[in-house]
Amino acid sequence: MSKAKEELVELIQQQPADSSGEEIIRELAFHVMVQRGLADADADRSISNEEMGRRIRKWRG
Amino acid sequence: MARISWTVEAQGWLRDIYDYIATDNPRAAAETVDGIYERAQALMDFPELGARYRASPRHVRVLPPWLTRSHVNFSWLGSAAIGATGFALYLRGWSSTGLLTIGLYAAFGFDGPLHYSRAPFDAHTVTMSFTIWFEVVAAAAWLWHRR
Repeated sequence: MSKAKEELVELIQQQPADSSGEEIIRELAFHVMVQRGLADADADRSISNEEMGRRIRKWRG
Repeated sequence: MARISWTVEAQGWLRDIYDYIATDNPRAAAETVDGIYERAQALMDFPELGARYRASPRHVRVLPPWLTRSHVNFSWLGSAAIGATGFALYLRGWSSTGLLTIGLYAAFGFDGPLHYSRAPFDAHTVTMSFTIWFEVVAAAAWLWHRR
């Protein structure tokens, strides 16, 4: 089994026994987003907090 | 103080959220995006806020939606109201009920050092540590005085 598959299978196993399908999917999607966020941070694909604030203000015009 | 940075994807999501809401209500869009940005600012002083996300071997934390600056301020006002109520009761002649209520308020002061379980000691400014320990000393002084 691939590492990604193993990780997600383990995550499903950790969910409460009465979890609904939707709750499990939500948890899996959240997990993948966290992994992507960490990969982005590691590769320095990020902007500073101040720059983020400036961009938000610019959207508002 | 911790340094906050936003991944390029996070910035993309914020922009999508803004654009989606702005088609109906630009003001609500700005408030939503400002709210998300503001909530993250609390991490600067308290990087240990929220709960540990255990599914990751890395140190990832999840901020619950209710944990906002206004929630913290509201909690402060709530606990101060208990002290003020106790004082008002005392002044109106309900001395034992008033003192008991003020005692309950004073007991909250001992919660102060719990801040250090949310962020390391050196992440607190001098003013923060001063107010935390001032609360503890004030609570101890009150309870000692009323013993």
